[in-house]
Formats: sequence, structure tokens, C-alpha cells
Amino acid sequence: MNSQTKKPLLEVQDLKVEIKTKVGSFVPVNGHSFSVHEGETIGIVGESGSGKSMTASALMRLLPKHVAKITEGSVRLDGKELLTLSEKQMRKVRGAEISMILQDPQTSLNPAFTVGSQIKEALRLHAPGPRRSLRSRAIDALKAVKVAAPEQRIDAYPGELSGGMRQRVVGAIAISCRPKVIIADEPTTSLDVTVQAQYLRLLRELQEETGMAILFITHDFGIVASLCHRVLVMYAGRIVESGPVGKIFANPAHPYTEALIATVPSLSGNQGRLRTIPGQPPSPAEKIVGCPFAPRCDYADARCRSEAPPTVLANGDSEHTTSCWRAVNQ
Amino acid sequence: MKNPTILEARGLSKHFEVKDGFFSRETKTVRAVNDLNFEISKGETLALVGESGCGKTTTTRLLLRLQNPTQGVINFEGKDVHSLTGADLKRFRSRVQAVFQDPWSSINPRVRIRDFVAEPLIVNETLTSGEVDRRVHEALDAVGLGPAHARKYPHEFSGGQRQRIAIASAIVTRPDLVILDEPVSGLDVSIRSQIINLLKDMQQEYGISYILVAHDLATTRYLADKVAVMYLGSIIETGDTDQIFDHPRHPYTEALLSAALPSSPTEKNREIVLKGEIPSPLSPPDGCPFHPRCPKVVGNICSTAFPQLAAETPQVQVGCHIYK
Ligand SMILES: Nc1ncnc2c1ncn2[C@@H]1O[C@H](COP(=O)(O)OP(=O)(O)OP(=O)(O)O)[C@@H](O)[C@H]1O
Ligand SMILES: Nc1ncnc2c1ncn2[C@@H]1O[C@H](COP(=O)(O)OP(=O)(O)OP(=O)(O)O)[C@@H](O)[C@H]1O
Ligand code: SF4
Ligand SMILES: [Mg+2]
Ligand SMILES: [Mg+2]
Repeated sequence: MNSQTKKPLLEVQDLKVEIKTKVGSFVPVNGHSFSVHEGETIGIVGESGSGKSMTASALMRLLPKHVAKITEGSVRLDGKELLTLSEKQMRKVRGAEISMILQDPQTSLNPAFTVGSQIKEALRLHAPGPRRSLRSRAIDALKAVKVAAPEQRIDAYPGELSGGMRQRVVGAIAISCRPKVIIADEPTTSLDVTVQAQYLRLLRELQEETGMAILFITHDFGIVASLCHRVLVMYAGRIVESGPVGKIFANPAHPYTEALIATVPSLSGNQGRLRTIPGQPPSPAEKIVGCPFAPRCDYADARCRSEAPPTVLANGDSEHTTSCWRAVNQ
Repeated sequence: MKNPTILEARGLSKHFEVKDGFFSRETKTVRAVNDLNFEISKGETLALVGESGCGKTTTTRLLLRLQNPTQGVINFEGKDVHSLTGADLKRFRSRVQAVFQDPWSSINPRVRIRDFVAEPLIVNETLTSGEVDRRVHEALDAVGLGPAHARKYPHEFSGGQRQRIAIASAIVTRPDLVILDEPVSGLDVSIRSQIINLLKDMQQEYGISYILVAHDLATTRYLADKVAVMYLGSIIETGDTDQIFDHPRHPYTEALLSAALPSSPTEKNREIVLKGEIPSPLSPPDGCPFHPRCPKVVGNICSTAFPQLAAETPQVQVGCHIYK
């Protein structure tokens, strides 16, 4: 993918989200800037709690009300600023132009309605057509995500489906309206590897057909390696490294990325104890001084502990950035 | 030297009746689980693996008494789980714990983390409030969440953090058997490794047995002593984990293991892409459940006769006509 020649579909600038709770406030999304181009898939990886889902919800303007809000930044979808739209305007964009597959299929499907009625609802809202054909279009959507016996399953309630089937139904709803940008928050975690491989092939085919941009949040480096063009690595609410997949795997520039890749367990037997990254990520309420990774970093020095590292090019490569003092020193 | 068997399933089946279409009054039968036989020894891990919808969660729900089997029995410490009463039932509830596939759905949003984690203790044991606090803190500590989190509510946690809370609650009674349905799937690799190490440590220290459902093959290989590969509700290959991973015999097992994603962009993809759709348990094919998609069909027998499990090595059983 040559990102220079394709047009950017999603441009995010200095995005900041603040969460206020009784115990205090913190910034789970701290100044993200990135863009996703037509036909491109970006992987978002990073520690649990590092703000990946918050970033996704912010882009969709679906942050938990009264708790989290966007305090700064800009999100442009195909040139249109989303953050200044009214809620009514945003509802038209959501599902039709930008759509999200939630991390938790349980919460995105209503247990009281059949899966068919929920898919039809999405189609009715965003891709209206003759009423009669809604049912057959909904069945097609289930077929597309390889749910067996779609003619019967369309009348099933979410509780009658296996975890992996529910997850695919959520995927079917998200792609049924062919959005320009799709944000997928760990959409394959409860799929077995063969169905996962099928699901990823489906996403790729759909992308080739429609040129949609995909933002793929995952913990699975196998998915990153086989699906994504570029990667954003998050740690404690910040993007600490970004670049093309091949370069990040071959030459991780940030010590967190390096440690993360080193902890991926292999499929071969007899591995002894699995490697981990010692220590804990900072708790949200903690005031971070210096680099957020410094307490766990093998390379940290006095400056790392006192001054926040700037975001700079890694190895002078214009496609590859990192926030680490070691890259500054190079 | 073999450890004593702690749980065994014999001829276990579960069928669901579902409506055949919205306007129809007729019902159809979903054969979610068919004639399963397996056992778990003390301190051992058995993994259930297989295609989405093949019946893994249904099996764990039967083991936990959350659903009644259509046929078959489950024995825990020699007693039929589904006819336990009184003190035996109480003991079962405290000795067998679970971490569910979906941590969100198993955590009540209005309950503080301390009370959620403590629940199995309070229901099943008589401890002072101070002792409960200590055990909860121990459990939270064990899963890498500090005791400071005990006072918070579930919505204040990320997906992966909630998963760890669910694990803390499952280990707080120091159970004999823990059923883990996708325990690490939503976790980043570093925490995943931490939890896997933790599960292994607890097993070594307390002799806990695990039944593991995991799609991640690396996790399965690492944790499981034995695997049971399921397809459309039946076990089609089972036995020693290393033998099966190194030398899968059933064509489905072979395809499944080949679909593991490469761990870096430079690694070659070796996936055996299966043809056809996943069959529906509403109308399972005759003969071998895998035959419509099998790249190695040996003849008519595959579409007419169900291949029973048979020993291929002393440690591995396979249900496939190739091996007869
Ligand atoms: N509704 C909420 N109220 C308060 N804090 C929240 C809320 N939702 C999330 N958080 C906190 O915000 C931070 C970022 O959470 P987020 O869900 O974005 O993490 P994540 O990167 O998606 O993690 P995971 O990989 O575990 O899903 C975490 O510290 C989490 O505890
Ligand atoms: N309450 C129910 N009513 C009707 N059918 C059901 C019910 N529960 C499960 N099923 C069906 O039984 C089959 C097995 O489901 P189960 O949840 O055990 O699969 P699984 O192996 O756990 O899959 P996954 O990996 O996707 O979680 C599926 O076809 C499912 O649709
Ligand atoms: S800035 Fe320093 S502490 Fe932070 S990652 Fe780089 S070397 Fe490590
Ligand atoms: Mg998340
Ligand atoms: Mg399941």
C-alpha cells in the first residue's frame, strides 16, 4: 500500500479524551494523530487499558456519557469534520459512513430481539430499499459472515447462538451498509482460527471491492502480520510507535514494542516459562512524569524518568515514528 | 503413575429444540453435543478446541450444572453431578469454578469488584469480613490488579482488566477444578503470558485441574496436557497435546492447526483452506460430520458410517475412516 497516492479517509489530529470519575480525572487518549487511507488497514495494538477502545469510541462519538468527553482535536471523515456535527447529523454518519464492531458482542446485540430484526433495523436505517427484500438482504449478510443455516438462524435470539456466531452477527451488521471506514475492536477474539481466517479473508475481499479503510484493534500479532499495512502501538494513552508492519516487526523502535513482540508465545512445545514484561502499566490516576514506560524499560536513564520523550522519526524513516529518547539520541 | 480422576463425562449429549422459521410451529433439533466421553485427572488440563459453534461452551455449561444433559452422566469425585443435593452440592459449587467466555456478562454492573470477587467465598464458606478481604486482595494481587481496585465498579475497567477480575473471582475459593472458557482471549500478549504463567503456577502449587476452551493455539499447546478436538458436537480426535500438535491425524485437526496465523509478516502462511460452509447442527451430515469439507475423503464410507474414536497410539484416539 502506498499511502502517498491514496486519499486519506480518516484524519485524526491531536485527539484528546478526558475521563472524570469520583476519584479524579485522567486522559485515556492523549493527543493521538494519525490517518487511514482508502483501502488501507491500520492495526492498533497495545497494553490492556491503554485506551484503544476509548479511541475507537471517540472516533464514533460514542463515549460513555457524563464520564468521558473529547477535549481537543479533530476527526475528519473523507474531509468532513465529525467533532462539530450535531448528534442528529452524527447519527446519519454512524453505521452508514463509519461503522464499528464493538469489543463486546454481548453488549451490542439486544437479547430481546432476534438477530434478523437487528440486522434489518440496521439496513432500514442506513441502506433503505424495498421492504420485502430486507429479510433476504439480512440473510445475505449472515451468509457473508459464514453463519451456517442463515435461513433458520435469522430467527434465533442472541442467547441461542454460540459466542463466535454472535461475534459474526455483529460483524454482519457493521458491514451490511458498506461504510467508508470500519473500526473493528477485537472482532475475532472468540472465533476459532479457521473461522477467523475466513473472517479476515472476507474483510480483505470487501476492502478490495469497496476501498474501505479499516482500523483493526487487536492483541493478536498474527492478525497484524497478515492483515494490516501499518500499526499504531499504544501505551498508557499515547501512541508510542507507528509505522509499516514489516518495519515494526523487523526493527521495533520503541522498547515497549520490542518487549511486546518478544512476549508472543510460539506454537512449538516445551517453552518453559512464558516471557512477560515485568511491572505494571501506570494506573490511570497516576501522574506520569517522563516517559510512561520508563519504570519497566530496560534502557531507561535519568532523562527518561524526568522528561517526556518527543515523537520523532525512527532511523530517519519518514514512515516510521516513535516516542523514545533513544531514537532522539541516534 | 496416574493421578486420580476428578471428573468424567460418559455418553454426554445435549440437544436443543428450536423453532423452524418465524412463522412455523414445527421445531427442529440442534444437536449441540453428541455422545462425549472424557475425563480429567487431578492437576491436569484438558483443552476443548474446535470450530465456532461445535459445542464447547455447551459442554462447559453441562459440567457446571447450568444446563441438563439430554443424555449421559458427569461424575465429579465419583458422584453424578446432576443429582447432587445438600452438602455434596455445596461442596461441588465451591470446588468447581468457572471463568466465562464473556466477562462482561458475568459481572453485575452494580456490584463493587470486591464483592464480585468475594461472591464464591461468601456463598460457600463462612469467613469473617476481614478474612474475606484478605482473600480478595490475594486473588486480585495474583491476577496483577492491586487491592486498590477492589472498591471500583466494573464499568471503570477495560475489557482485559475485567477478564482478570473474573479470574480472580474463580480462584478465590482455591478450587479443585476451574473451567476456563476463553480466559485470555481479550488480553494483550504480555498480560496473557502473565495469566498463563499464573494458571500454571496455581496448578503446580495446589494441584488444580483445568478445562480450557481457547481458540489461541499457542495458549492451548502451552497449558493443556490433553486436548479434545470437537467438530459439530462430537470429539473427533483426542489425546496427548504434544502428540496431536506435532502429528495431527484427523484431517480437520490438520486444517485447524494449519490455520494458525504466522507470527510475523515474513513467515509463510501454511493454511489448508477448507472448502464449503460450516455445516449446521440443525441438519448434520450423515456419516462423518466432516466429510462434506474433507480434502481426504477415502470413499463412500465417509458419507454413510460415523467413524467411532479408536486408539491410534496409546495416547491418541482418532475418529476417521482413514485409520481403519
Ligand atoms: N466508563 C469508564 N469509566 C471510567 N474509566 C473507564 C471507563 N471505560 C474505560 N475506562 C478506563 O479507561 C482506560 C482505557 O480503557 P480502554 O477500554 O480504552 O482500554 P483498551 O486499550 O481498550 O483495553 P483492552 O485491551 O483491555 O480492551 C482504562 O484505564 C479503563 O480502566
Ligand atoms: N439455548 C440454545 N438454544 C438453541 N441452540 C443453542 C443454544 N445454546 C447453544 N445452541 C447451539 O448449539 C451449538 C453449540 O453452541 P456452543 O455455544 O456450545 O458453541 P461453542 O463451541 O462454544 O462456539 P464458540 O467457539 O463460537 O463459542 C450452536 O449451534 C448453537 O447455536
Ligand atoms: S524514553 Fe527511555 S524509558 Fe521511555 S521507552 Fe525510551 S528508553 Fe525506555
Ligand atoms: Mg478495549
Ligand atoms: Mg463458546
